[in-house]
Amino acid sequence: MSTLRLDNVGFTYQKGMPDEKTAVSGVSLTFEEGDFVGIIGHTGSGKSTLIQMLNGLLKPTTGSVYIDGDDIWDDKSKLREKRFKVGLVLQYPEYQLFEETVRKDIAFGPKNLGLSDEEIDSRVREAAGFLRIPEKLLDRSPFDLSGGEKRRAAIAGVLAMRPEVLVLDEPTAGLDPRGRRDILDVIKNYHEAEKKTVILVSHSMDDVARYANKVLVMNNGTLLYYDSVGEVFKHALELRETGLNIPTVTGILLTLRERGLDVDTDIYTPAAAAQTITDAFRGISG
Amino acid sequence: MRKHINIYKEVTVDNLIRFENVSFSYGINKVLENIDLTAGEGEFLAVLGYNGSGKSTLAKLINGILVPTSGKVYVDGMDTSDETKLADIRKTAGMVFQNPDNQIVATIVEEDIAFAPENLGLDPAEIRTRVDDAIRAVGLEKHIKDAPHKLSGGQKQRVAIAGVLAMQPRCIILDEPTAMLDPKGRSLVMNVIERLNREKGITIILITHFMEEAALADRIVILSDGKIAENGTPRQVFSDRERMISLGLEVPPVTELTLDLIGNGLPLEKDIIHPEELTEALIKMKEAAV
Repeated sequence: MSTLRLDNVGFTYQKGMPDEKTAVSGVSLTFEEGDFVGIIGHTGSGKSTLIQMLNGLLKPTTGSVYIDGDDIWDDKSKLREKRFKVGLVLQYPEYQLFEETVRKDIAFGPKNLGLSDEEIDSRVREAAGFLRIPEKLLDRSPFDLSGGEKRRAAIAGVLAMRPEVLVLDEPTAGLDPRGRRDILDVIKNYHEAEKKTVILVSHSMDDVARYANKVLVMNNGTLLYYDSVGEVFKHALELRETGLNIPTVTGILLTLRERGLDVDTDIYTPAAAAQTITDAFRGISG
Repeated sequence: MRKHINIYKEVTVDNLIRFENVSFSYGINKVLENIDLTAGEGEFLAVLGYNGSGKSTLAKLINGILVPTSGKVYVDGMDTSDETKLADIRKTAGMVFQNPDNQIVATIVEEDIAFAPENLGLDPAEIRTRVDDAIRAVGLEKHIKDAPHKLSGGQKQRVAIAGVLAMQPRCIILDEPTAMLDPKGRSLVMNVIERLNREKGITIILITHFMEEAALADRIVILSDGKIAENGTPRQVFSDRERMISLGLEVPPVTELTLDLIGNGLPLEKDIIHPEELTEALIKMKEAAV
């Protein structure tokens, strides 16, 4: 049972300096165990600052972050242990691969935990399994892999730490459509198998709509919405006004509704949109 | 809302860019095989394909960063393997890369844009005019004196485009220019690309992983395993969802929705690729039914 709670969290860069800049302010929320949360917001909205506070990479300048009820900054001697509960996959994580083989790279974290060789080996296998990295790739140099494979190897390194909460910052950036689907599918499978919390920062509303069950919207450093996907996309018009994209099909449904077709607009996948449009036409002809 | 439906565009020169039976290998690794391809002056061509399909190699062959292992690439009739033509080829076909941070050389936006024309040895008044025109074309007049590192990714990418524009090229090749940008940055960069094509008649070769961007092109070429797997209009290419998926790609969400609606029995054309088209078609159906 693991929850991550933020209480009035804020962060100001260069605090006290003439060029101080507040990136996040007054964020209070709870990530419940097992949720799959999509975080959206445009560049500069505070997304990246927020997630770096989730595992203590940044210390909030106001408020507190609690893991399982403990303030992670309360007792510095326990900070390390608490940080390991939240695995953070940064953008372009493949730039952080450095070992001679994929196996060693994935094992790096568990090794630093001082685990037995047997335990390390089993964690490497487990993480590689989740990321669908075939056995034969494990003894290759990470630098010989394709872009998508490198990224999966880097994510496996974080999973091998068995975090309670997995946070990924734009894990699909720069990948081709198949690479994007592969990464999101393995994350989804991991989430379904382990029932652990996953937090996904994404620029793609369509991806968030498809994979997450909750959406967190950041705007100008504050929390704009945090609710189920359906509830958040009910605010499609407001989202659009803040300059955020809404899922393509939601945009189409909103236009249809404006033009007098009786469709539901809190819908965000093509299949569901097809259903409500079809129903609307049945309503007319029936 | 942007309108880009059924705009007929005159393509004046048939072969501004021409690949004749081009193959390219890195060592023993064959990347492109027997490519025949042309882009006409004023055409907007999108190149799709999974990572490793040969897209970036294709782009680099156009302005002579790479030369074919066999076959020929011609830019406005100039052979890219002829080193004496290289400067002229690069003036004709400029290139924009994925990472904006790797393309900016100066500490002030206008100096960065002036960098290439200065190297052409143009007189200062001409350089000034070109820089001003270029910065206006990408909509960054307000930032002309700014330091590039203070700009957003999308703004930096527009500076990179302006730098290429200052060379007054007839063709611009963009290799995943929006891959590292957020949705707002992406849409501004795409607006600039579309305008350069439609208003200035500049030939655009856009390499992208985003199907919505490719839907804006006149023609789509899909590479797979170093060969051309598809070459057609966005409508032709996107209306075959299974084929797209088998090529490691996808169809735009609006096409997916359209195909689902057809599956549900609604009488729609299967080659709908823009949201406005679908809404118009549905509203028309509704009006006919009421």
